[in-house]
Amino acid sequence: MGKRLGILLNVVGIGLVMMIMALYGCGNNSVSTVGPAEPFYISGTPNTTAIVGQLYTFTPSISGVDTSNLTFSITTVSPSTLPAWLNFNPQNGTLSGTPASSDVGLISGIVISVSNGTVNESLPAFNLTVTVTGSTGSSGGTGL
Amino acid sequence: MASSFFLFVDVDYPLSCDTIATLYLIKRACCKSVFMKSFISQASSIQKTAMRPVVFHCIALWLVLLMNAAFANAAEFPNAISLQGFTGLLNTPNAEVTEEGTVNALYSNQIEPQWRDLAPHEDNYLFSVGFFSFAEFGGRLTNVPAVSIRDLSANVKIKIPFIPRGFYLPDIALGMQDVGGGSKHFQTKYIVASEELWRFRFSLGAGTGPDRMKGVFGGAEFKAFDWFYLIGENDGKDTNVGARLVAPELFGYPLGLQISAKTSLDYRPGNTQFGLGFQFPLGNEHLDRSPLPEKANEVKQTSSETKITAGSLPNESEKMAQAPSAAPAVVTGKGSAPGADLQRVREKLTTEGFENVRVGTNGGSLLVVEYENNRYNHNELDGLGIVIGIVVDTLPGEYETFRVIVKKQDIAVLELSAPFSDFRAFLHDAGKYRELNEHLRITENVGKDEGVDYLVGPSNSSWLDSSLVVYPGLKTFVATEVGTFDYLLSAKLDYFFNAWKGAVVNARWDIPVAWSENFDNGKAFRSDRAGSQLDRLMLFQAIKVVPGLMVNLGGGMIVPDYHGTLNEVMWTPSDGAHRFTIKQAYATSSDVQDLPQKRETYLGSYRYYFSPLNLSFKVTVGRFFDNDEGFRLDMKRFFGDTALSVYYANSQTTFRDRVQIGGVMIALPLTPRRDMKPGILQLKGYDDWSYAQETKIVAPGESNTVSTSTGVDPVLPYNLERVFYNRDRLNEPYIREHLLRLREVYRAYGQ
Repeated sequence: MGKRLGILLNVVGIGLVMMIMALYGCGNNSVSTVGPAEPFYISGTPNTTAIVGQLYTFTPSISGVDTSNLTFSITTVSPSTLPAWLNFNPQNGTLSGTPASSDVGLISGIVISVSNGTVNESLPAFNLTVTVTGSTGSSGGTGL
Repeated sequence: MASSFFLFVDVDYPLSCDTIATLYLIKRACCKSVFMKSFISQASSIQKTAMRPVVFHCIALWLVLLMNAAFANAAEFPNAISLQGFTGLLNTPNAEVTEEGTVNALYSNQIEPQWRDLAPHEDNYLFSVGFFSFAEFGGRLTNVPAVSIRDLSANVKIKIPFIPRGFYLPDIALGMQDVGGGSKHFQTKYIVASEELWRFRFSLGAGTGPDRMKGVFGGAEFKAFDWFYLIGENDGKDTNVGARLVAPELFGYPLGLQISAKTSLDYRPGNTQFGLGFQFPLGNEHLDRSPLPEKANEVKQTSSETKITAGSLPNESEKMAQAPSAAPAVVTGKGSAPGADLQRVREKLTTEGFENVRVGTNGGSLLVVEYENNRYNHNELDGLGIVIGIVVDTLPGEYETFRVIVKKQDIAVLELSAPFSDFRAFLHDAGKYRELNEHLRITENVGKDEGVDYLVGPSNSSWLDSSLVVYPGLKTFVATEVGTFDYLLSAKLDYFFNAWKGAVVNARWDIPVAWSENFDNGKAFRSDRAGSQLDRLMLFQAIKVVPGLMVNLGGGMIVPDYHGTLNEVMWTPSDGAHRFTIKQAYATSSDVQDLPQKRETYLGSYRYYFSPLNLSFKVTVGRFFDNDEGFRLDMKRFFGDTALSVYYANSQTTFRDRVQIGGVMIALPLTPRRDMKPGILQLKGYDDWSYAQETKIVAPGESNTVSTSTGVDPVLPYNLERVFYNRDRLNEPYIREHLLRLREVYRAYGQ
């Protein structure tokens, strides 16, 4: 009796698993285009400083069940569009470029987002300061 | 000698016939010497063909100079900056440090070993400063365009104190080259000992490298003349020989000149590198801690003649006490009415430009003089000396006690009192310094009138007077990716209007005048160049709550676009050695582009003043002007009226980044010692102009990005320390250490 019950439960269980896999596109079945998408996550801590003459690069990390067919996008507050020196790859979300001396300044409110067409995930907004290395001096000492 | 010198630095330099003949004979003689043959043989093994003429000429030169050495002064070796920035020989240190209160600056075109096969040219700008008698700090800016190296580094060297001079007791020093910073092009730690023997100074040391000074290094300096030195050394990588020419004074000014030349015997011998530098003192008074009396019959002297050395005060003082004093220049007759004398004093003081003058007496024994000095702006002691001099030379000595009250912004800040006769005796005989110091009472607790009747009449009130202070503003970026030295020079027009007691309206304009290319439109530092603008408009009200406790309240536009309040409370208990300050600022921006939009500052600080060295330590903790939170350490030392500070700040920015800053600051008066008389509009320079150079301290491999907003203490020109406390020097220990200045200034300007 116990053995039969066990077999029955196994059959039912396997059936349920296969049904779920079929519904959500896992396993050997073809990718399902219907139904809710798998959850995915975007993460990473970008360097907030870019140095003139040095390559700046940042690629966010994506984790989740299905990371294919994702599209990345980027927005900024100021300036409203990315400066020419900074390239953004919508395939993998990589932000890269080498700033020149004329690019010194602040890019504020940068938000990198990723979407599978249904779900949007974003990194927290960050500012990117383009600067130089070296020493500074000023009259007025260390006051105002 | 000149031709010999240039022969050394450049073997192709044309020589006179006599010199050539002499050197030829010496060269022949040298070659017969076993020692010389050995030396030459060894040298030739390195670079046989190229070395020979150099070695011959070097040896010849050494011998010629040895013969001349008998005529040189046997005084000690002057300490000079090496081509690496520390005090030393050519590329190695000796156990000496830069003279206390002195700055050395040097330019060198020496190419460092790591780049000499890659770069045809290198520029090095080096400086060192003697902060104490046993410690020097230095900096170095290196620019090697061919390999895109622009590097700023720091040096520090400590000479072990308390080692007596004498044979077999060498001086010993420890040092670090290229301290901190992300790039370590020259980093070395070393220990070195030096000993002088006849006209030689030998140095031997060991270092950590990794390039020069790895392992044992050493060398010798030979004093051929008081102004000319020959140097040989092994720096652990190369053997170098060279010469140094030193001129201690130029046209009577204490501005020393230094020219160095060297060549390596191991790498392209004969290829010469140069160093050209100068040396100057920061101030004249840092050695005045144990003043000697001056000669009784001395004539009027200049400030540079007041440097007094320690040593024989007791005997000299006793002699001076017995010596007849110089004739006092009493201009009033004893028979004149006391009121007339006091009026004469008041008239003289107001004519001299002192303000808020009050003169009174309690009937005969006590004389009280109140005044405000806005004319002698290098040091409040200058105004004090003039006032004391005028009073003592004007009045007969019928008063027992002379009390002088110093005011600032019509607020009494300090009181000095002593027997009238002591002031008079000191003024005319510096030997009476001790008596005055003994009887002098100094306090912030300015006494009440005690029945003193003051003269009624014009006091030359400072009310509604104003001043326009003109000074340069300077902003620099050094050793960045875009330039070696970028600057923005502006004209600052700082206007102060005395509204009422303790109250001042302050407006400042900033007018850019000249700047380097990287401040142009579209360039890296364009955002750091604002247009001509009114960059401050504030009303300040200073209040002396109780003796030792002062408050300064300020409101208005603190910096461009930011409006709010800036307040400080300062408590100076006891004699002024300790000081506690609380500062608060709150400002919001009217421009939405400004970051941060709101600035909230809360700072508490403690300062300790060590009078024997004119040295102060200060620690500041709290939230700084850019909303970063942390602490800051300052160590400041006055050399005369020039203050030199080193500081370190460690704070966390609003982005949660921990930032460390190290810097050095110099502050000095950029105005004549005696300014234009104050009045409706007084035009003058800034008595506390300062310039700070700082850099981020980062771990190796990290980038020291430029930062101008870490650990900023919102200090404005109208601050308690500067306006009411003589740039933090209006305390009892400082005044007692500098009493001679009172006399010196009166002799220079008052008579």
